[in-house]
Amino acid sequence: MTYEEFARARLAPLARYAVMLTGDRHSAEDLVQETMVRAQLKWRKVSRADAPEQYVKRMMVNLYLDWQRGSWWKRVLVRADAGAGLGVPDTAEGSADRDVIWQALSHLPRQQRAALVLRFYEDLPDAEIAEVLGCTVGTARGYVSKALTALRARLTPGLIAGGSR
Amino acid sequence: MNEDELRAAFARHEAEAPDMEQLNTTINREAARRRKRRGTLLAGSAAAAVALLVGIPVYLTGPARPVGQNTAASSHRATARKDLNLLLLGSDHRGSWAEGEARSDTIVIVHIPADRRKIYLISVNRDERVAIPGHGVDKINSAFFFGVQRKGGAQGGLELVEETLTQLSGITFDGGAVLEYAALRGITDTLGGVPVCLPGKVDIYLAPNARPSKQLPAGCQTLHGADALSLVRQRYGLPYGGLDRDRNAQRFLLGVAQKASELKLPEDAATILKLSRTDGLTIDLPDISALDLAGQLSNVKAADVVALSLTAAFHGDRQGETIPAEGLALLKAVKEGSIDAAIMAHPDLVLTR
Repeated sequence: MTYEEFARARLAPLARYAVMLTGDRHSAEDLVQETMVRAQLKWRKVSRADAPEQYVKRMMVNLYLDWQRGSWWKRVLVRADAGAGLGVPDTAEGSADRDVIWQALSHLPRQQRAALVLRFYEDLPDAEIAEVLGCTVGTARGYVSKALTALRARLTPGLIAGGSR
Repeated sequence: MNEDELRAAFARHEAEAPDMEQLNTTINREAARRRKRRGTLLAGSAAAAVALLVGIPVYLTGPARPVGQNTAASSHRATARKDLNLLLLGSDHRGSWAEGEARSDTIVIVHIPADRRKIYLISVNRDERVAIPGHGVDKINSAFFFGVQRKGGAQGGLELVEETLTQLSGITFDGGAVLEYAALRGITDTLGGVPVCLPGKVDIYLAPNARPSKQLPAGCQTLHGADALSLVRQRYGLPYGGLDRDRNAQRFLLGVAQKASELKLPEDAATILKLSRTDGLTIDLPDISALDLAGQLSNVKAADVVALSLTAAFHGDRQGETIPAEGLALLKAVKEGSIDAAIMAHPDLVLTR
């Protein structure tokens, strides 16, 4: 499979996956761009992986987790090239009441959010979540359950928002 | 909130995915830009004749310390931005140092002028007869042996070869590395092979009058460990014996430089770690930060690595070789920082690629 074939088939789902991780379109754009640029540059290695798509997703999660630690985005600034995407309204604006969950997600630590995305968007079993996040199965389960607890706390009136972070 | 609501929240926001066509264009443009930049970087870290043998291990193990007990010889070495001279030795030693049976058959002075625009690799033929401090006149490859005897280990050998060359030329050394031939094999394999371009075929002989056990063809090829080792050790059957062997060692170093410069962190951390732990590699780099050096050399391209020899022909007899006037002039120029002029006067000392 060439990179071009992969991109044609998989860029859209990967972009959606990036939206789930980052929570907004522009960060998602940065994340998916950086991931795919790297995937393209080392395509021979990526294409040799048993499951190239999983491999690329793992790259993306790692970039997402490194977002602040490694500061790749500071160096890259791909976004400067992609101005046309700016200013698109967040769909949350029109459906604020339903999107409290989406809002609440943005308060989670990255690992926890990533774990939720892998569990409830990608529908991965715990073992694969652990593999993608590079932690033990127990830790992965812990992320999911802590994240759910934190979300529920935030969505339940009367509890102090942010108390569970 | 139940899990289905969470799933629904994710599903609703799928629509926010960015525009694919534009995204694709941006990705391809950025990848092309970086590929181009990577091309120059790759050449740029031609520091790697240094970077591989010197830089990478130091980078990983923290501040360098001389391997031997004796650090006095290092104390005079300065750190300011000036010409840098490093010494790379290839040793035929195998097994325990206690046996002391080790000579350095490959001797390369790495000269990096203060402006850091080029790297010069200057091979010294192992058969050159020179005055070895404390041991009279002998072939220079035995200086390593005497040094090993004197202080033990590769570090001692390295120091006496440095002293010998300093006495001969006035060049002082800022650091060095000793590479046992076995290490060369390990490094080559860890790098996944090393590219070399040979001007003619090389028959691999294990002894002077034996039949060749293998032949490396003329032209560009990627050598794996065993063949790389055979190449840099081979002098039988080459028109200029040991001189041609030095040329092939230079070709090998240029290939190593290229391969090592393709390594990147963090992707290749495991490879770099493995390189740094190559058996048979001794580093002495007392006062230089390899990272600083790599930074200073970031504009050096592969074409800016110039490989030279002290002689283009034999000038000796069965007792050994004598460094010709042009070779001595080259050493003097290294000391005085005027190497380009010396090369202009004797272009035949430059390795033709």
